[in-house]
Amino acid sequence: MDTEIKLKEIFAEIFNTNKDKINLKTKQNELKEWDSLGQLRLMMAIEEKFDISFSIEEIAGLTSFEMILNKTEQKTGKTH
Amino acid sequence: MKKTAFLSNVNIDPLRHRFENAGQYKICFSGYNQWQAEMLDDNSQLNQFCPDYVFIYLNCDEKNFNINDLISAVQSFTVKNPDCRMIISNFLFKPLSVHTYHDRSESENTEMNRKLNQLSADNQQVLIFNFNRLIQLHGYNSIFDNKYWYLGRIKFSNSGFNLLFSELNNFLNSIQGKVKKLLVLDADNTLWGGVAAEDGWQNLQIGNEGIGRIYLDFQSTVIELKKQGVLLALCSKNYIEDVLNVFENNTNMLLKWDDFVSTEVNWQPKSENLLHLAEVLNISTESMVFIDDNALERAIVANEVPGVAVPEFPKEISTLNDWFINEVVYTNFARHSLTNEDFEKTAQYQRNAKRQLAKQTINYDDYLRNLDIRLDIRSADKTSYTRIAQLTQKTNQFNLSLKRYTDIEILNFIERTDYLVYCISYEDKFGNEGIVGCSIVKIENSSAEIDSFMLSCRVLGRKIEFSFMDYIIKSLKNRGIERINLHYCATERNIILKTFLENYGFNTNDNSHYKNY
Repeated sequence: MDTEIKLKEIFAEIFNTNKDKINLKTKQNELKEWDSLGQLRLMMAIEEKFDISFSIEEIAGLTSFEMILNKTEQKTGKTH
Repeated sequence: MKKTAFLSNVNIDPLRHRFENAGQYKICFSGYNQWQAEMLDDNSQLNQFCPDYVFIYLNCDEKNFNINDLISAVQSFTVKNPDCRMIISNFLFKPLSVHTYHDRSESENTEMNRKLNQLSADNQQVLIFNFNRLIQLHGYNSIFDNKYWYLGRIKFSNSGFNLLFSELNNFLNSIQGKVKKLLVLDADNTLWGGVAAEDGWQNLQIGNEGIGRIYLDFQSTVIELKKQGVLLALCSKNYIEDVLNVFENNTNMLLKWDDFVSTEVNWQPKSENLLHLAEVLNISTESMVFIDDNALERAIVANEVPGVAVPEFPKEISTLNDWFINEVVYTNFARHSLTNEDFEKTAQYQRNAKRQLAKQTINYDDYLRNLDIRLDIRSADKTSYTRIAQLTQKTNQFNLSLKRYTDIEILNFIERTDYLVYCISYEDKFGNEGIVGCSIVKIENSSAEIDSFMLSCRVLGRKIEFSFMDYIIKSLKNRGIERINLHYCATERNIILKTFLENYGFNTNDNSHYKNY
């Protein structure tokens, strides 16, 4: 749950939006600034905040909030 | 609000968001690799923006990079914009070479930086941004990250962008003279190790031995800062005799009582002492920096004194001096040899120098001619549809309708008789860029609707959009098309397309529907 809140805060900051607008179903291109460049800024910020690293293939494939949450939890060892 | 523009030959878009969120400057980012055209073209986004400051980061590992191109573009731009300051990052080749120990890039690197220094010496509008200092301090591998280079032409890592952002802010503050005036220092465990009233003035950690050396180095830095014009004040919860004893009797002390413009040694809350200092010295609390090892004191001051800067104190005391320079001095007391005042003083001299400079500059049309551009425009086919789909998905700036298509959809358009799909390939003296733009047109009897029209940002600013549109219109006219319509979908990032439509001669009544007949 902690990861989910932190991720929402990152999303809100990176995409200049309110964190209440982010939910599990939020997908790339649904948020105005979540375009291909936005995706890279997002990945960079998450990597730094959680001290994890996504592979180049993962970055291309993580296109929804839920996918990003699952992958981040997996990498930080918080899978439930 | 001052206007700052950013130019680069790599993607520095993450920097835009940092500056947007900070909201201190009106900003203008050009798509990457348009730096030369932006400076030379009078109608470019940059020239229209009339910036106060232009930051230029050029990565010299890029194949097309040539320092002389930078020099001539900067000379031309500064002649046209005599009030604009150019902040140019110095150069560093990647410290990895297949030529190992017979690599010659180091001398080439030195030569490029020498030319940049010369440019700055000749042209007072040019300031050098010492990016190499950051790289030396934090390490190449922590600032650069290849992953994002392959994904999106981004050279820096997230922490690289953070460092660049704060350094650039400090630099901009320094040239505007936006710096703090007063450094307020605590005494016990800040200027020396130990507590004067408990340990006694003769037993404090200060001096050449052991931990004392840490505080000695710190005091020495504080004295240097004072020599640069920063005012010092002492703020300590103590009986004044205990503190005076240290200053008067401990011969290891570098700081002297007289170094302080004011001393507040008492048992009042420190917040009140700071407000008192503001009154006595007639300076705003916003121009104060408060250093104290005690977290509670820091919290109270930060809370009660408006605008005062209260940096965290280092947890590891051996880092005190470097921490102070890096986190406190650069952030709050950064100075530049050329402040705005100096700049204005030399304006007269400069105007004369400018006339000389004007002879060395080049104009935009010469630049375009020198590029030796070769375009190949044709109907799309089965070899090009995947690249076209990719363009529709990735292009955000020069994109008419922002309609995104999959490769299957593009293939479908190519096969249909009521659609035409064009693509444009670009080559110049630096190399072949391949397919850099496309257009999709829907035909209905004698009229046509341009459904999509886009160019990759890599080739913007070279006027090729005019050639591309010429070709499409001529090809449609040859088919007997009389009316050409299009619909422009406005976003924050594709305004350049609107400018293009107007320059090209499309007519509109609502800034959305355009026609050419």
